[in-house]
Amino acid sequence: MLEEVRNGAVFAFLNHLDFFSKIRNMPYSLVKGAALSKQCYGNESERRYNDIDLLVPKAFLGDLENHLLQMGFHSRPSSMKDYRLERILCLSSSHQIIPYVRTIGNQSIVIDVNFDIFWGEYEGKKINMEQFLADAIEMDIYGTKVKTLPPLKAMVQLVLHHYKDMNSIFLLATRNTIRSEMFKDIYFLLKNNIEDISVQNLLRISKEYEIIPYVFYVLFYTKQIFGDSFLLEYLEAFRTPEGEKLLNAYGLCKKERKEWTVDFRTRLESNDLNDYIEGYLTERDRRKIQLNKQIFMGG
Amino acid sequence: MEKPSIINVVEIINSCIENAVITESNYEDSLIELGVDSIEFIAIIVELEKTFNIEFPDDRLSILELESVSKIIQVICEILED
Repeated sequence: MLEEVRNGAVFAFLNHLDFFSKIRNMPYSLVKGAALSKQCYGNESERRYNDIDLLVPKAFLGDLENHLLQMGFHSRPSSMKDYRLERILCLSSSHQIIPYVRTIGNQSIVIDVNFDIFWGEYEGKKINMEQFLADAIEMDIYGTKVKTLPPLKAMVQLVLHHYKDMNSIFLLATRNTIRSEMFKDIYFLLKNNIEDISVQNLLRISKEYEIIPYVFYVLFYTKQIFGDSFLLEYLEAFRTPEGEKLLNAYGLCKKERKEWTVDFRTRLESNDLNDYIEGYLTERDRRKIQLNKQIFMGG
Repeated sequence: MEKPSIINVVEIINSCIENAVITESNYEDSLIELGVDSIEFIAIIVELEKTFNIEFPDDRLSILELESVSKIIQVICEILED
């Protein structure tokens, strides 16, 4: 209940700033958070979230950042003193820039600005974000009109997001990013949008974007948790040797990839995934984790 | 600012990577396939920006965009001509 009041107030404040009207002509989508909650569960407040996540093409980052600055947001300081180095790091090896924040009283509104649905280390075919965002749909969130992804693309975004969270050595070392709620979102997004996200539609878009192994990976573990037999049809359609190889591995690129030494249930129930990976990290992995800590965790 | 030469850029890149694998003969090959990783790519960009006194635009800052030495030279030339 408190959560709903807080989130409603955040959107009311953004509405007061005309935030979403001012960026309406920009290719953007509100992703995860309230928009995903509505697509998964039918209402804005079912899913817990702390930040407002926006997805914009890289070429529009400057425009969006100007809007944010004009509306009183500022980039959250990191512990890196070299702003340009920080910017290069975010843009070349991440999918997001430093979040923008505006504080009102004791509340902070945090805007996460994402410019890609892949991770920074991704070595495969990139998706053109302007084209990806071209068919964004309008949605009403707490009385505010926002643009968000249609269900099929929301699934693509969510699958890649979850794959990243489950495989990033930085996230595994610093946060517990393998959580059962993430599979709940996948399950209900699929279950409640079954026509839009039919096996055929998901397979078609996954072939186009060359992401079949990642979709298989996330659906495989969703099936482990939910056990619902309708998922079997998806698993059979998406099963490939490449996807099966990913199941017991972590790391977001070939150079970083390592085998888990514990099973999925243990990973899911762990309070500190770092315990299971720390001993296997290379010097380069550690350097990368440290750099990311400096930027995204302030130290 | 003088236009970047292949030798010039190759020297800078090789100084930023652990195994200096770039030569004049493979400057059109993919940096990823040549073994350049994300941290080395950041070092390369920082060094190139310093040397040529430029800033790569946001939408060019990716190893998939600046995929080879020849592409890097092309983009530096575009920035210097602007």
